[in-house]
Amino acid sequence: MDNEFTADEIRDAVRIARVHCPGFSEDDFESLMELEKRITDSGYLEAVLGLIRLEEEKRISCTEALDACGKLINQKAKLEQEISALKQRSNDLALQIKNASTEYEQAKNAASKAGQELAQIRNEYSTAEKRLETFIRKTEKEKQRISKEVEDAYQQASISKEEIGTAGKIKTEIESHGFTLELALNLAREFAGYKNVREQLAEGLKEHGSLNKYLDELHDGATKERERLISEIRGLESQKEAITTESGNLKNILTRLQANVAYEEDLRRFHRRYFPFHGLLDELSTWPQVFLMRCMHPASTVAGVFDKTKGNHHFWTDQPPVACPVCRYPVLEYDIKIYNYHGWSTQLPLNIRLGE
Amino acid sequence: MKILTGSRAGNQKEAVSVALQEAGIGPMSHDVVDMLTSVAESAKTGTEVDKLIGSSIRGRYGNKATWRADRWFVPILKLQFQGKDVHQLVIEVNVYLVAAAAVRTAGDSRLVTLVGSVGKPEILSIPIVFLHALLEKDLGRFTMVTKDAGYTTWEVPGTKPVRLPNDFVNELSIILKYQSVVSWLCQFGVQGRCVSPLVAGSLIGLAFQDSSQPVPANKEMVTTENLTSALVSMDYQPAEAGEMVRKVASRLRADMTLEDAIRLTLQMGKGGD
Repeated sequence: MDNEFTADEIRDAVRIARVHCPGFSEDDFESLMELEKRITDSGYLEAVLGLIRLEEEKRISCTEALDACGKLINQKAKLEQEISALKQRSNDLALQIKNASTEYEQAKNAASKAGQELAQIRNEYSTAEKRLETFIRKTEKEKQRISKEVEDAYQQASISKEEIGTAGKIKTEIESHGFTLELALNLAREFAGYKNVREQLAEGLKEHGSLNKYLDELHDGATKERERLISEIRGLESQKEAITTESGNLKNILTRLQANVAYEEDLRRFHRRYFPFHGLLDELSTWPQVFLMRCMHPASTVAGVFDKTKGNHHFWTDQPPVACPVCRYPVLEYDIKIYNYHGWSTQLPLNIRLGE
Repeated sequence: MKILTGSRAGNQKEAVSVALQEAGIGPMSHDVVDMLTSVAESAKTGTEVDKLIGSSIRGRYGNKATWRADRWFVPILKLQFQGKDVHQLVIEVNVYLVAAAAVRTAGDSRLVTLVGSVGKPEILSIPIVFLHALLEKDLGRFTMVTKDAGYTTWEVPGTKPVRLPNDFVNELSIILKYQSVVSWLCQFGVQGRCVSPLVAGSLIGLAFQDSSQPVPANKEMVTTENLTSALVSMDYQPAEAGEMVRKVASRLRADMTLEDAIRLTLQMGKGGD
């Protein structure tokens, strides 16, 4: 809802106000409303307080202050106009400085890069120069070494340069007849071990008609001999396999026989050792139940520490025992060691059953 | 109490709306309603309210009807400005009960809303001079006559002792720190807007009372008192002066100056003679 009064409401308010303040008019009310509006503006009160302070402290009247303010405003407007031009100039200068700095940085970087490249080229040139000198020295040495080796080779082979020249001529001559030097050497080597080589060659040719036929016959004979030898080798290999198999079977039989002999030896040993007591086992097997007991007399326990023959008594009965048959001591226990050894339980009746 | 069909109120806010609608008063801010909730809550005891609701429901749905209800007390406020003698802002507080009830009868059950005035209206008269003192934070200028947990009574010269709820005065003093009297009155809706120029004018008059210069008669506005005084000063007897004023009263206007009123009164007197 709008709180602002209408003209009629203002009139009513003024009329009521006059009851308490007869001189109050509508103008006063309007002034009050204006004041209320201005008071809502925080700057208004501040300005009023400032003017009062100016007048009280500096003795400057409001009019003078306003004149000064007008001048200052004009000055401010002029300065503001200059500000834009100065700002533009400042921006231009800043841009120029920035561009110059960028160019300087680029030139500096390029100079630095070029210096580095130059130094690198100098290094590479110096290295290459050194390598070349080293290579030349090595080449000289190698040349000298090869010359020396050639000289040594001549000396070792007892040949001279003239002989090498002659060999070259021979090679050329042989090759001009369609042969190679190696073939000529091989033929010479083949005939070197024979005396009267020429006669033997003539006989061979006489017997076989031609050298080629002689060589074919030799080849056929050698092939047949080779096949015969391969066949014999195969026969011997199959005989070897049969003998190996037979040997394995015999080894198995021998192992079984050795095991049987060992078992029989054990049986003999067992017979010799336990046969004299078979009567005792037969007798025990006739008992309906066997109790293997031990007396727990404390005196016997102590004595057994010093002398095992004086230890707790062991005894067997066919009835549940009530006291030790030796010392009549009533505290008894099953002979746990025997039971545990055979895996028997003290909770079940023990019967000794003999086999067939 | 009036019974409306359906559950129309689920909380205090909705209850206020229902009560305002039932009382035929236009929209009103809930803040001003809350200011006088303490007056409303002391209007009736719970048992009395139950009897009231029960009798209304049984009257409508029969004696076997059972019910269960949520209830709210809503102060409905009526404003008035009294300009006679000492200016006063009068707030009539009429407490309304709003109950949203579930009613069960032998045949069926239904939701209804009961609305109605309970108790007698309470009149709070606030002299404008008291309101001015409250604005000036100068209540100490009035003698405190009585004070209890709920109300305080002050002696205000020229009028009966002023008895106001403590909560209302405290809350009003806080509100007036942050907003004007006119803004506060406008929260009462149309009726607040209606009285606000008069209250504002009275407050302004009080504020400028001390700084006012003696006003010549040709500018001073007429009142019954100053016209009578002027006639007495002209050697009329007080009874005679009173009679003259009574005769001219039908011709006087509130915007008439004292000078014009004296001239008119004297002309009427001559005419009458």
